[in-house]
Parts: sequence; C-alpha cells; structure tokens
Amino acid sequence: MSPDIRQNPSPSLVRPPGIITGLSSGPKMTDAVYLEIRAFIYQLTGIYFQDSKKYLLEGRLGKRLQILGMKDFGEYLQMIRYGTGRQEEMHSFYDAITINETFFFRNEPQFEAFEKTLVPEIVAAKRPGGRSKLRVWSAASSSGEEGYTLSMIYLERLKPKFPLLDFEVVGTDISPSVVETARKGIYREYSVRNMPKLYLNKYFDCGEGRFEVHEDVRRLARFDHMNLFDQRAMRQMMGFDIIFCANVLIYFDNKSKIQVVSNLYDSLNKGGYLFIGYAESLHGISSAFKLLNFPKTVAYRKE
Amino acid sequence: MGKVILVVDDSATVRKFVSASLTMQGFNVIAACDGMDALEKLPSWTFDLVITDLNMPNMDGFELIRSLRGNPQYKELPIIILSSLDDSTSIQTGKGVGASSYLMKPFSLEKIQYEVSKYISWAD
Repeated sequence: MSPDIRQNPSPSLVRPPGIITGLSSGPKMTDAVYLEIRAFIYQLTGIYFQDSKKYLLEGRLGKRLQILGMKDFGEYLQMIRYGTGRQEEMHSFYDAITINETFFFRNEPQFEAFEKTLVPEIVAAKRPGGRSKLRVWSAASSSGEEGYTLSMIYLERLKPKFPLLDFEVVGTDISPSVVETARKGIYREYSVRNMPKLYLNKYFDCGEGRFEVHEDVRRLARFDHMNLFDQRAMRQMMGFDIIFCANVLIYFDNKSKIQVVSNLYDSLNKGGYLFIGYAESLHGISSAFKLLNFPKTVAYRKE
Repeated sequence: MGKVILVVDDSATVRKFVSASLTMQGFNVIAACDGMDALEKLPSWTFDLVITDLNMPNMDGFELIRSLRGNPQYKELPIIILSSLDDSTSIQTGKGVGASSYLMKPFSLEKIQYEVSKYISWAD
C-alpha cells in the first residue's frame, strides 16, 4: 500500500508499469467507483490513494466481493457506506487495504510479560500452594496462532514452574472461516517463521511445508465464532484472568469501542489483565483500567 | 527490536494507516491517542522518532513536544508534527517548542516515509 495525495487527481486511472490489465480473474472496478471508494477512504483517514493504485484496491476488495457474493464494487461501496452490515464489514475493509498478518509468537514482549510477570502474580493471588486454573481469552484469535502460542508457553514454561496450575485458552473471532482454520491447527511455513526451533520441533508435526499442532497443545485451546459487539454473547464470557485483544478496537467508532472495552472489563477477574495492539489505546475509552509498563509493551490491569 | 517510532494521533484510522505504512518499511510502531497517553507509554520503549498530531484531547501535540524536550533524554529525538493546522502561528509554535519537521494533513504515506527517512533508517 502506498497511497499518494494529489489535490487535483487526474480522472484517467492508470496501472503502473508491469501491471498488465485483463489478466486478473477477479471483478473489475470502474474508474467512477474507484474515485468514490478513494474519496470514502480519504474522508475516513485523510489518506489519498493515487491513480496508479486502483489495481491494488481492485485486487484486495475483489476478494471481499467474492466472499460476500456481490456482483460489483458499486454494490460493495453502498454497503460499507450505508448497509446494515457496515460495522462488521469495516473490519475486513480496513484489513483489505492495510496489512494484516498473524503468526506464532507475534508480539513477543506481550508473551514475555505474560509468562514472567502476570501469570506468577495471578497464580500467587489465586490459591497459593493449591490447584487453580488460569483462563485466557484470545479475543481476536484469527486462525489460532495466538491461542496455540499461549498453550505452548503454558506447557513449556509455566507448567513446570506451577505444576498445580491448569490452563485454558478460548479463542474467538468474527470470521467463521478463520475459526475453522484455528480448529484444524494446520499451518503453512509463513505462520511459523518466527517460532523458536524448540517449540516447532516439540509441538508440531512437520512435513512438506505443512505444520500441524500436536494434540496436547490443541486440547488446551478451543475456538468459537463470536462478535465482540454482540452483548448477549459477551455476557457468556466471564471469569478470565488475561485477555489478548489486539487490532480489533481500531475498527470500532468511539461509542462502540467504549461498549466493547466495558464488556471486556466485565469478562475479566479482578486483578486481571488486558493486552491490546500497539497501534491502539484505551486512553479516553476507559479509565477503569490501570496502565502498567513492561519492557517493550504495556498491559491494562482491572483494578 | 529494530527502530521504534511513536505515532500520536487521536484518529484511530490515521494511527492504523501510518502504523501499517511504517511497519511495511521495517519499523516497529507504537501508537498513542494523545499526549498524555504517549507520556504514559514512554517508559516501556526507547523511541527513535516521534510523529505527533497537534489537536488532541487531554494533552495536545505542542505540550507533548515541550514535555519531551524538557527531558534531557529526548533533547535530540526527531519529532515530526503531522497536523491539519496550516496557519503560520501553529507552524511557528511547532518549531518553537522543538519539532524537527512539520507535515500538513492531508498527507501521503510516501511523504511520511520520506520525512522519516531523513532522520532514521530501519537498517541502522
């Protein structure tokens, strides 16, 4: 993505050298609709896509059209402007025009704080010396990498230290298709590229570019389809010690954000922690949490 | 961890887009939604550059820059203002409090990338 600003954009939209028209099998975007979508993005973000970036939006949003069963980009534009599913689609819309990637051991500083500080503190407060259970929620679990990373950290680092500590991670995501992927627990090389070798060898069956999570890791995690904006569903999510909710709040407007964060707050036990994305903030959204600084990350504690 | 950039803006979408753009260039980006939030996050990272909006609730960009420049640790830190305020008073005030550059909104991501590259490179 590299949009450019021009005060007086030319109406003639061109492809950059090397991009050949007509080879892509996806739906085609008319110049008129491109100008409208570009204006819509500009209005939302202050960022302007230059003429030569039409192919980029066409390719990325074209996938959304296919998923939604829409015939043209005009229909899609109507939907993200005025449609009833607007709020939910904005998530995918932003994903389509920015980079969204997930992989094992992403946001390592959060996992470090989780393992070295938060869990020992929570365990000490729960039942010193007795059996207890740590419940973690991966609230935007995508295809499951974060949930399984947490399960592996439990098996490798926490269980030996706290043998009486049981563990459960619940992963939820708004997209049913990624929940299915998470349940299968089979990944490509891209997802495991950041994973320490020790974990890869110990917790995966590897073969021909295919990496399958072991059963002992999988049974600690369960994945469900859920919309964080659904009040009824949110009320079922209770008693968590730590919530990971990265890169979700950014898609909600302020009013909705306040509601979602308030629900996340209710889902946490007292003294529990919330992690959000590095490009996100709770400032002005909730004063109920206390921000705590850790090396290369921050966490929010329910006081 | 590589070079770390702090992006301060009360618009979530601007934070998201600027972050995505700089992340693609190999930088690590931390975002804050106003000056106060930025100051609270400072202890967790060593920042190599700051990009800040001016008009923000709680603590505006001018006050954030003043506060950073008041700390010897951040005297040399490159600070880029990214604001829709285009009047000469704001630009003068920005320079006066110690901003290194002043960029106007609307902006292009390429312009930001270029401005950032004047001060730091991800490969350093």
